Amino acid sequence: MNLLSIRGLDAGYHAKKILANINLTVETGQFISVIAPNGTGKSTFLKTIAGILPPLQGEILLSGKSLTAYKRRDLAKKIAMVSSDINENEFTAWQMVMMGRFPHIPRFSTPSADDKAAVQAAMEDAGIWLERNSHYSKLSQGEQQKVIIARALAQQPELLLLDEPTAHLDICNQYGVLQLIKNLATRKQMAIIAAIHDINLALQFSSHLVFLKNGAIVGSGPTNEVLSAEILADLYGMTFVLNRDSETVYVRPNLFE
Amino acid sequence: MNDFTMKQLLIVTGSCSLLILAALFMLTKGSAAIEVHTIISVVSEQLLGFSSHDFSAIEEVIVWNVRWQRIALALLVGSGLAISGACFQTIFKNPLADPFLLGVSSGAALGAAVSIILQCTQFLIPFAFSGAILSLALVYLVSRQKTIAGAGHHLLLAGIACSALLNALLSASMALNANQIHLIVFWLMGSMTNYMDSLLPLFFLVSAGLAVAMVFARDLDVLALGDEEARFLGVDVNRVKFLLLVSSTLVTGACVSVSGIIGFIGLIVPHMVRRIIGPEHFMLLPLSAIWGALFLLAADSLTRIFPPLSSIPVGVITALFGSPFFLYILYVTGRRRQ
Repeated sequence: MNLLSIRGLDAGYHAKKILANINLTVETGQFISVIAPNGTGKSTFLKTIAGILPPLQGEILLSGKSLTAYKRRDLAKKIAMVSSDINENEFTAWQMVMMGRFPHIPRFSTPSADDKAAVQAAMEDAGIWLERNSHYSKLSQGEQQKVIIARALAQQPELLLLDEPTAHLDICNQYGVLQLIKNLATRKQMAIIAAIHDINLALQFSSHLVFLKNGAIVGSGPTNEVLSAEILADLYGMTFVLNRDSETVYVRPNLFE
Repeated sequence: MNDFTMKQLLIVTGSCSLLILAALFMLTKGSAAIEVHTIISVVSEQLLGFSSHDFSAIEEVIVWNVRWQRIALALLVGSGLAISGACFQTIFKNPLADPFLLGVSSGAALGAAVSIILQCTQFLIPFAFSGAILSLALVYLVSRQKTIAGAGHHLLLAGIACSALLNALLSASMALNANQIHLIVFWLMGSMTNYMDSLLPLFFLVSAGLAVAMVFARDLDVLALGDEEARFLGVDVNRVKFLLLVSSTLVTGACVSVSGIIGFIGLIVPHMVRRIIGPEHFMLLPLSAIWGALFLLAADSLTRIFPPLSSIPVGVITALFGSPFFLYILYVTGRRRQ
């Protein structure tokens, strides 16, 4: 099912255009990784899709309706963001996840039984239910990221945006967290757009790749069709070696030629 | 989010009872000896419209027109400042934010000083309130360049700059009118003694301020995480911030224009309450209101119970006794968390 279509999008801040003429369609169930060097507009891309930055030109349709026509609250029911910015705060894990219900709770109401059930389900799915009464700031970084994932799940979105969700995690947590997100997304029929620096990490989980260079898409499609040493060389300005085995593909910079 | 635990329920009922007891106790204090049951009759007569009528007209005047008015003023100003402080700290994500941040106090002080200099002190409150509102308008005009979008710092800096400007004007007007300096200075230090007829408008403003903040209590929770995260979670950040800033500033302006500048309460009470009850605004706001009221009442009462202190402005007392108490709270809760 077509969830998101981006047509002729220019994006950026005020007078400074960062992305030009982006065209992309996102289908339910896809895991799309945006591969790009530093400073090429990955964050701008995600923020524009999330409706935080208004498009400079072109349009973004979410479920057939223009993104700018959504109210903030309604958008939060459809799109959730998981980033790696860890904020110090005094909330408990349960309170943090309940904030994911914010767009669902009417202004003059308190959380209903449904909201509490959704929070519990999300925390159980993310494997953080046992820590519900702990203070968020007291949890390990892996656990904190699971709380943020649970919060995104509690929003019950159709599109999940990941902005370096594994930036502060060790290798075990990196794979654990992404595996968790991927499984949950598959089960709940969500689409994912992720910005992940570690190419090999992205390759393990992505169904599709988008390559960004100088603010434009230079390649996009299913992972095993678009990935090549050439496109990586073009992107990063160094040569790469692709290693394929029966299950997956690995990339390493070719330092010895 | 708004699930009450037993502990929270106990704290709320305990705080409320403490507030009522403190207010009743302070009604018994004063130069005339009046029995507790007389006081209860007068209060129920005035607030609820019935009583056993076993009091004299003089007793009624003392209890109601003198003591109760002063107590009510302290309660309202204390809670108003604490509510505004709680909102400001969350909106600016700054633990040092206080209700006077946006130059409200300087504006009010300038207004009050002008009315004193023009020798029309009967209009001091309207003057001070207009000063507060004008300073708010000035701050917004200055910071409007990029709307208020994501501009916590813009607004904060604009507030500080405008405060500095207004303070300079205040100092200039004081220097040019040296014979009235003591009147202005005394007003600046804050007191509960003067302006009793402004109780009702103040009551409505403070209640409205609390009501608005409570309606946006969950928005404030989410805002505490940061503006961008709040947007992702569905908060209309600009609108909510604007509404709450205006309502908090109006409440602060009203409090300041009635009582003078009373520091400490708006800064410290919300922190204290947060340490005890947690960061959720649904509990934080009403409890801050209660404890702000209690604190100012206690500070004002000290000057009434101990005659040697009677000439010290209440704003000085709040800081003098409140700061060590806050340090103690910091120490105790800090140790418990380790």
